[in-house]
Amino acid sequence: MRNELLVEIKDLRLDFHTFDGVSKVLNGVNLKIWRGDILGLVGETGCGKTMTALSIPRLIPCPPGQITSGQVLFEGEDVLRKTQEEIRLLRAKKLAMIFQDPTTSLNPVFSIGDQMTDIIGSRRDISRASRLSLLGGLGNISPAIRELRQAAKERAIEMLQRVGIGDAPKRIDDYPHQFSGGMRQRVLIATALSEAPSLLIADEPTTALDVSIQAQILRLIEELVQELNLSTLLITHNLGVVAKMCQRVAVMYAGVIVECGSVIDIFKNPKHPYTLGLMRAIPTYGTKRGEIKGIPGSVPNFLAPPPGCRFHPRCEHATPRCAEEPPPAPMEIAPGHEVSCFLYP
Amino acid sequence: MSETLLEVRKLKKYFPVRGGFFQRRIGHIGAVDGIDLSIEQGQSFGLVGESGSGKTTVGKTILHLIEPTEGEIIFEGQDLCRLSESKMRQRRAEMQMIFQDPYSSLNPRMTVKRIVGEPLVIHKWAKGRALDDRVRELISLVGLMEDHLYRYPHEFSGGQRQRIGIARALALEPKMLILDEPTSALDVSVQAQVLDLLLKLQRRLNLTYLFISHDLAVIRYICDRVALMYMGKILELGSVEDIFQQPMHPYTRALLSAMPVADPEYEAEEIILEGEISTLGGEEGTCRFAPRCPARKSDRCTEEEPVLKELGDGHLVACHLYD
Repeated sequence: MRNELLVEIKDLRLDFHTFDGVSKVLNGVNLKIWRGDILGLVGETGCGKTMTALSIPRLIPCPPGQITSGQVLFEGEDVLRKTQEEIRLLRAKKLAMIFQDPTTSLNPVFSIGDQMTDIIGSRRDISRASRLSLLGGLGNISPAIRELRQAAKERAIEMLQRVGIGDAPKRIDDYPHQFSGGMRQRVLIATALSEAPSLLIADEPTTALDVSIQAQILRLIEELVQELNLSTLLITHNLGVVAKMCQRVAVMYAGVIVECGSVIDIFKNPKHPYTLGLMRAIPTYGTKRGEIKGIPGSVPNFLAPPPGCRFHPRCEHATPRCAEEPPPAPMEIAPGHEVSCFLYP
Repeated sequence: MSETLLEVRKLKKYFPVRGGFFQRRIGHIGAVDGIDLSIEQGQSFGLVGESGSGKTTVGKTILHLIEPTEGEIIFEGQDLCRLSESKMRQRRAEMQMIFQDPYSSLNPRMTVKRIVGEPLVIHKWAKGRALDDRVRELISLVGLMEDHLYRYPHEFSGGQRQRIGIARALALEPKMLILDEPTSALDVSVQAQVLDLLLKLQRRLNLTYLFISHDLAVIRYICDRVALMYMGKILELGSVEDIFQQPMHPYTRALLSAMPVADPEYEAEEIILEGEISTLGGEEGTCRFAPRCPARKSDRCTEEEPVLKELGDGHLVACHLYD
């Protein structure tokens, strides 16, 4: 399985320029996604998980964002050095993304069919994309575009059926408010996966959904990932979802990947104090009262992050060294299990 | 165990559905449709359900933040539905609510001191020095510092804001707290801190909790008894051990199996429910869960509404499978 590297992020540093100063959001992120793997990215809110994911399709708003160093290699090519045209082609053909909130990801004034046709059509023929989305009607003037729209619509119906929306030929003309949250997420998944991409980025895909709907959507993602042989970056803060879905896990804190390994490594043998803290904070089967423990404090302010290891003010094992030196480079303590902490030289 | 603090009998809340010309009343939604609960002094009672199952409405009708359509709410032997407005206001001091979103439930223009002190001022419990002292006491009770007193809500993190909300709820020395998804908006690391605080406060102040949540793991951790709600009805009710170890109702079983467990080696058969909870429909006189039920057998489910029956040890189930 672990044969080919699809994405490699090397020492990525990202700054945001705000009125209050420079906010160092990513502080040297190293991440690898292997082909066919589901990689889970976990961490608290505001740790930079979404920013890491957005760097792959180069969707970080610049300005105010500024990538100060690093590389984002997708199939061996640096995404950060591509031209605008190349990056559009990459986004259209190779990448797919689904977001947390299925309500705000759909435009309420267009039917889902129109939105899906626009997106699928533009992905198929980028050069005509601008004319395609020109309110449907105008685009129909040219026969070539009409044909493209027709094909895209057929594909949309096919995908809707695949993700389990009954009576797709009819429902395609419905508007987003006529769908429930789970159904909207299905529509987004159908749209994202229409052109057989190689990487799926799922940013908290089930956080807004109920448990029973979450189970349905996770099952669907699992099936599609297998069927299309997708690699997946799954961002979530729900460790239960990670344990269920992922093969590998990266734990992120304050703009740095602190620990990375197989799902068994991380859950059964967590090493970094932050990972340990996260594991202790969740109640699972058999947890008695008073057994769970939070991590004191909260994620630091990125305008003035603590010197040295960014986790040291909340860490119970902190030594004076942690406040002075930046944490060591990730150490491989077991095959595929890397930790960045002074405790593991 | 001990005496009953709150009892809810046949509680109903219907919301009108308006439509047509002149926005006439064309139907109703039974958000809460005949619910019986009893909560003992010092207990934590969990109310679980998906969004739209009516659990928040139950919490709000108990406090009369929404007028119930029908039913009795008996708090310490007194029916709250029969009280006058002013009497109700006094009693409400003994039951306080903590809300889900710590961002929108605190007034952004007030300092922490004013937020926490406001209930004391409104109920004329304290002023001047006494008010000051009480606010300081409350603040330290929930683990905040004195120098937080003169700050505004935006200066705090989500967990700290939830602590402010808890301090405000405790100001009037309530006997009972209704907690509506108190940790859903928080990160796991912070959620653990808040749950810890709630357990400590319960022991120290002998509080009774009605804990509303969709997170089964949290409910299991903090509650003594649990009720599962679905479309305004209670489907199963029992002690935490009963519900989690021997779930009887098909809905409970499905929900428990669908809950992702943070253990990669955990293997269990997963029951995935078809469809979604719908707010409309679910006709009266049928089992509300029947359209999604994987164990549905007979026509009885769509012809006759199951009632809660005791299977022993205070474990109640509403399902035709156990007749």
